Amino acid sequence: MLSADAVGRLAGQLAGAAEVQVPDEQATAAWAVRGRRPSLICVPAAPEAVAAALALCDQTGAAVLPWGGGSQQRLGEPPSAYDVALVVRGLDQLVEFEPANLTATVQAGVRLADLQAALGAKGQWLPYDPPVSPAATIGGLLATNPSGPYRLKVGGLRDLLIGTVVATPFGSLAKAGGRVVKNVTGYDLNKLYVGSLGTLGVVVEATFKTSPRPETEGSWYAVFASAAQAGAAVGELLRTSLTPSGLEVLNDRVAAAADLPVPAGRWALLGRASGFRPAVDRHLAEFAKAARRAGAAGAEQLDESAAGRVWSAYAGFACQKRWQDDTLTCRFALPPDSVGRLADLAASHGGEAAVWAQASGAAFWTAALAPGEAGRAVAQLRAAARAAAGALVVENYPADVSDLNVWGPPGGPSELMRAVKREYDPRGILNPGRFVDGI
Amino acid sequence: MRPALLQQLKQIVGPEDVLTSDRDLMAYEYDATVEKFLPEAVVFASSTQEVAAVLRLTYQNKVPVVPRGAGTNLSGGTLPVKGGIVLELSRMTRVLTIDTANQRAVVEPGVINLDLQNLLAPLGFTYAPDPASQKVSTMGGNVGEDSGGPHCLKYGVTSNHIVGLEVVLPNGEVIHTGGAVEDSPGYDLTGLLVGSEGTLGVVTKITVRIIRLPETIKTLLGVYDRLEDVGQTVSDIIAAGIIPATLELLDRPVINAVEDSVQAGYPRDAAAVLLIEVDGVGDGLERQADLIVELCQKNKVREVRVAKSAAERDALWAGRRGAFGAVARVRPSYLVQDGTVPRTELAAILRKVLEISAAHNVTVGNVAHAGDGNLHPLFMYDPKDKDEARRVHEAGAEILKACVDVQGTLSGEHGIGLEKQKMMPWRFGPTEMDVMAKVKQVWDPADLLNPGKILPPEYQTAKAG
Ligand SMILES: Cc1cc2nc3c(=O)[nH]c(=O)nc-3n(C[C@H](O)[C@H](O)[C@H](O)COP(=O)(O)OP(=O)(O)OC[C@H]3O[C@@H](n4cnc5c(N)ncnc54)[C@H](O)[C@@H]3O)c2cc1C
Repeated sequence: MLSADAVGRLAGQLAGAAEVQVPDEQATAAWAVRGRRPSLICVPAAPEAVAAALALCDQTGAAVLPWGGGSQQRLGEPPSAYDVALVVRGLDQLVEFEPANLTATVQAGVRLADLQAALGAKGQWLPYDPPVSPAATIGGLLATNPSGPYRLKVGGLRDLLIGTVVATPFGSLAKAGGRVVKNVTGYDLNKLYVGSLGTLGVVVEATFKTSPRPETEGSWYAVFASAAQAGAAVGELLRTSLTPSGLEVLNDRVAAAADLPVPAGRWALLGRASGFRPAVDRHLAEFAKAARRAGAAGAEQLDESAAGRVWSAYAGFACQKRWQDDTLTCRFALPPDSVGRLADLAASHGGEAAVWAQASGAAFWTAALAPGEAGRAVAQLRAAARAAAGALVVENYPADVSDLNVWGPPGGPSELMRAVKREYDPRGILNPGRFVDGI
Repeated sequence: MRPALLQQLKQIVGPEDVLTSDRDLMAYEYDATVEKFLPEAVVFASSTQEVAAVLRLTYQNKVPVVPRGAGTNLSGGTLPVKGGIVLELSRMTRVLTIDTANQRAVVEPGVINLDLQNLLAPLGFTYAPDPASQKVSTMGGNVGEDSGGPHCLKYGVTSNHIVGLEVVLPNGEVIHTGGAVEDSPGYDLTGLLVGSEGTLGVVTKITVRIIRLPETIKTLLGVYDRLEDVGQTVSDIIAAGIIPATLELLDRPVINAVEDSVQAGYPRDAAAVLLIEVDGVGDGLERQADLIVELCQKNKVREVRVAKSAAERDALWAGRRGAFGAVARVRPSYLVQDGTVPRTELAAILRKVLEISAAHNVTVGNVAHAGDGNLHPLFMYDPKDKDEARRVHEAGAEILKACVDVQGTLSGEHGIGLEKQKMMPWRFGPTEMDVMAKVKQVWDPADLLNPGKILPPEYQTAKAG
């Protein structure tokens, strides 16, 4: 933590580059992360100002938390230090959208919802539908890398991102990639930034591949006795040439929130197809067959308005539940064929468990647990995930739970990851202590 | 190379797997580019353990190592510019697992791309990236260059299909990145390694995503009298909500070369042909094909041919598949360039290619992955004619400059290697170059792995220590 003097000096310097607020006790509450509060709020209005502010913080040794919509700030370990909230919401420009080129360049403070609206006006979208708060910004999404049902069809954020501009602690703005969809001009740094929790630099601009909006969509659900059964139906579908745009396994609690009539103790498989009408109809027919083969009584097609309601209620619940106070939320990363089994296992842990899972391998579990039990439940579920060649990340946990390793073992050697961090942020000012292995 | 060191290398891989005679080494002094550098030895590794042991040794002795697959790269990527050894991985050809339920396969780096596809096809699956060199190029090389291919418009490039790697670091340490699942915690080191051109680590196992083969494929060929009309057709197809699997363009000089050699039946007087393929579930694909025909017609297509059988599909593809070979027959040799522009700039840049080439008095034709804005000007020339060779290289560089000028880039799929590092500053400033140099610094601080590649010389020198 900086001394009061140092904070004062830094505030004066930062004021040359950006709007600076020295918040009182009450105002800092809005910027608190895991009980820690910043001394300064810095709100730059342009990419250059973000870089300038970072350089000043670096010189002072001030710990910086980049801040987009603030909707996913619970992710990660508590920051080991926190002096400045660097708010990038001022970077809110759609820089370039060329529909015929199927690419869009936006500043990091643009909200996903606003980007989708702008693309939608030209019949396109970013084929990316994570269940997130309307406040979620492009920068925050790149840092935290959540995914939605559509991932099954087109891949994740890493597959859609083709260019970035990143502000560095050295005060520079560094481009990577570009506005073309195929590019092997040097190291692929974009990949490094996705999911790096803002620990390597602050993304100020990003370019994505966009897609034409599908002509139509069709949705359907079926009810199963267990997640394993629902998973078997998913397995059947993945063995066909179908290309669904969502296959989600929901336990009774989540299904109820999504307005699906699913009896207590049962599971729903919620499916969707997007594209041209005949292909969508074909998907719907095959969904029903696969569901019956896996033990469901049949499959229920949702009409357009019901489908809209169900998907948005589902996303709303998933987002709200995931980040709710006093909730333990874990995300599994699993091979598709273990999703059902692990979902059943997760649902048996803790009270009021809500479990939802995506066919591409992400599964979520939230539960109410006594503070003493959380660690044990997480350890058990993580062991099960790892035994299935997967991983488990604790995304959210109640304030009274401590001693959780939220990330678990990383997907690569920590020494190399730490070496990357050292090169990009030598003084360790960016989101210190929040990422894997103390990065 | 010191005899003692050679002796140790032979102990690791076996005496017959270390080549040192001048005659043997000469086979490794070039790749698919034109420059030549002689390695001090060629070492064939057949396991991760051997690769690790070789790298421990070369690390202790500060010997540069160039990993090599089939040597088909087009950017000088496997040339031992600082001497040392070429580490051949083409014998590591095992396919270790195929897990259709989880859509994954694990392969060794020497597996040939097409061999993997052929192994998967009977199971109803495929590995999507399909570089035109897929009959010979290796998965390790594909990872090294982040290769693309005709089907990348819909399915993405190599990096979209690699989820995990086993890698031997320059000091011989074996590490694993990513894995079978999406989004393992931590930095995406796998993503960083793909396309790193053998400069960060030697890849010894690759976990790839495999996907279901499409149920139905429809192939069409549009014959055009004007390049602009092709460009507009591409834009219109995409605007109609269709992402074809391929949109491949061949212009008149290439059409003529193709007709001289494989007789694909492309009209010689056309300005260009556009090979269009849509795939997916059968339902509705007919309608997509009809819509594409309409869009071609709206854009003054002279004629659209629709393949009605597998044989007809092969016939339409024969010209595209045979394009490089056909061009090679026009003159003693050819050189393929690789640049990318935003899709909307494609027609203009193809015209520019012809203008620039005329100004340099060189013969050129264009093949392009039109849907991706990725162009491959093909220069037909005689490398023995030093002046012509110089003019070819100058024209190529000027074309890349023109790509960069319209927000395009220096390479869409062939890599920077040796060939394009001097052009890097056209696209990136010192800041970006520093950021990339940091990557190299993290992985290979001693600068032993494929040294002298990607970054311009002034950014290559490793920091002390
Ligand atoms: C006729 C022809 C057509 C082509 N068509 C295409 C095309 O359509 N699309 C396309 O993208 N490319 C194309 N290429 C270029 C080339 O085939 C690709 O770059 C291919 O991926 C190279 O594979 P390779 O096995 O030959 O690798 P190499 O040339 O041996 O190596 C390529 C790079 O990867 C590194 N490398 C190789 N193996 C490893 C390893 N195990 N670990 C770490 N690094 C490694 C090397 O050091 C080098 O930098 C074509 C080339 C030719 C000659």
